[in-house]
Amino acid sequence: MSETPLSMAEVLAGLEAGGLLDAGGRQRAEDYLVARAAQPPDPIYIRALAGAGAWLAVVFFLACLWIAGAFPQSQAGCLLFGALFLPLAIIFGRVGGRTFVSQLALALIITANSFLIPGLVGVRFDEHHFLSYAIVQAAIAAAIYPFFRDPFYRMVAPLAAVVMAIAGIFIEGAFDWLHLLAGLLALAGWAAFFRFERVSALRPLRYALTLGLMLTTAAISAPEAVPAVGAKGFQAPATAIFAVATALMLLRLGGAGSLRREWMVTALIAVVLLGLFTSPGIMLAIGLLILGYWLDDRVIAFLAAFFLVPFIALYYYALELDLAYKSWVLMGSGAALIAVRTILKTRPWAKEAGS
Amino acid sequence: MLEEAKSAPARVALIRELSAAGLLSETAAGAALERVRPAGAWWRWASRTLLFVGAALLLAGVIFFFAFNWAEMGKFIKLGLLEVGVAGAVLAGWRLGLERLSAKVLLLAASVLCGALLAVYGQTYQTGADAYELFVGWAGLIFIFVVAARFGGLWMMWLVIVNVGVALWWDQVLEPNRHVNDETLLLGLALLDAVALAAREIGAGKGLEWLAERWTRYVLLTAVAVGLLVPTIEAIVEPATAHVNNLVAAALAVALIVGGHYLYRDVIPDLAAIGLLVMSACALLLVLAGKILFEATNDEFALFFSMSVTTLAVTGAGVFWLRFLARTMRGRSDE
Repeated sequence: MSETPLSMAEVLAGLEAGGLLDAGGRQRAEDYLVARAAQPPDPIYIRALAGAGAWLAVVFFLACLWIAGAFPQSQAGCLLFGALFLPLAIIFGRVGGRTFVSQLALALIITANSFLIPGLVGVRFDEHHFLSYAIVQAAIAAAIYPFFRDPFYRMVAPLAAVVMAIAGIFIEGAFDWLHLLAGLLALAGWAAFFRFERVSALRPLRYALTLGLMLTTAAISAPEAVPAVGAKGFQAPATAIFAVATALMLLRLGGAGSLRREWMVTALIAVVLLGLFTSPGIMLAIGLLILGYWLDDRVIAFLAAFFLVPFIALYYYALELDLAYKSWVLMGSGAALIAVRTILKTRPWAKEAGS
Repeated sequence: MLEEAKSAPARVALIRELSAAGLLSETAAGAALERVRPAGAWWRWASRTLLFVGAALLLAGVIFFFAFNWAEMGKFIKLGLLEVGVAGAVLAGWRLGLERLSAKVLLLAASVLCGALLAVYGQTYQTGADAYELFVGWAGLIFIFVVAARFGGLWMMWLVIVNVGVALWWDQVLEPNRHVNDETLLLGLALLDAVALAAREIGAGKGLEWLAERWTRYVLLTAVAVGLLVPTIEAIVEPATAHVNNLVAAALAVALIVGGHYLYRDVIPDLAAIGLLVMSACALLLVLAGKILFEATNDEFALFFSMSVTTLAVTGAGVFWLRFLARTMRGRSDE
């Protein structure tokens, strides 16, 4: 079934006709669309080029400071350098406008951040504790986030905190903390995606949390993290967290009263079965696939699809089965999904949808 | 500009943006979302996802089954099952009608199974054939599926098989026997993918919709760029050991960047494609700048400081140029 896609004009006209939008509101919405078309946000490849350039420049700059012997040797020195570069970065970021100055601002904020971490760790935390650096980085990212608007930094800074936490957990061998991290990220993600969904400034943070969840889940699935007790048992808490989050998301999607509908019951049963029989990575990727489609966010959808493949591969690799049986399990899983699709196509609501 | 903005397809992300900007109430946004993406769209998405993931798992299982169990199976059973799989997938696809997505996925499955069939055949009969012959034969066998399916994904898979076949031919025949260097291989692959890219652009221009999926352009452009950039960077870093092919690759890399700019700015507007070319140009310029600075001074401080500034300047210029082009191309489309 093919349809001509609706235009924004038609949608706005429909809202006005239905009394959900007045003439003034429609005009303001149209003005916004025109302004947006005239100055659209930078596409991701332009931001990636700007970000990569800034990172590379920072690496060279830090190297030249090191060679000059100007690299601070003490925590106080690091704090001083960080405090020097930070306001410069924020000022350049606010007044710079475009291109070179904004890239310079990005390079300066990365430099400031890099100096502030060792500076602040020594002030308040035990620098040998495996989570000190992660907590400090998270605090720096949270403090700078409202003031420095570059989306690349706003995404990378919180993500760096997650990476540091995972690294610290692996160095310490405290793998149970991965589940706590997954739970915290899931909670933060829920808040960012649903509680504060209308705050557009949180978009980079949402991407950071998505990537952070993927990396944490990959860490949970890593052989080093899985004790000899059994992979399933170790991974169960994370799988449960993601299954609950996916189920709640589906209920939010369906709205009040949807629990009585067959498609919702089918979807929830599927979530329960996936939670019981698959891994946290697969559960997370499926949840994010649904979220990506719901929000029409191609980045999240792409990340989910991209990570689904290795998570499925890891899952089957880790099965304690003969290799011959594993291939039957793979084929059976594939056939089951196709069979489910075929059966569901016969349901009235699927026929109505016109598959 | 006003009409273009208003007639732009309604997207969920755009409606959410209007809601986040306070221009639509939650009720209005909900009604708009329901209209843009009715409940049926969810089922169609779920149906497609189940189909792709299910087919991928099924195929993976078949391949692993034969990869790990062949020793215990009789040769006729192994070959027979695969042949039945190929024939069954093709027949099912034909019955469904090749314009349907599920039929195209079936032909893709048949193509994958052909590869498994050739691998099992080679293992069973120990013909002594080189690995490249498997890939070349595989590409040849499934070519008719690629033409019939008119499916971008299958065409890309076929190109990957051809590229691997060429690379293995170089590794197993050209390099050992004729000492053909790796720069020649990369140049050859780049030219092969450039021909595929040209075919894609011509075909899409003539209205072949299955070739018009943009991701195929980006994959092919990246493949061509990498194939030309690597020998060019080698020539810059170690000019004393550069072959003629390095210089040819460098000339072609410049031609790709300049020619591609013209093509994707004026003929087939695509800013993302230009973005790939600009990134390639930035990579080349930075390597060149690094080489010049490294040769010019022994002062490491000056070297790294200059590289820091040069990096900002080069990437900044690239970003500036892309934003300028974006404004120009938008303005042109308004006229």
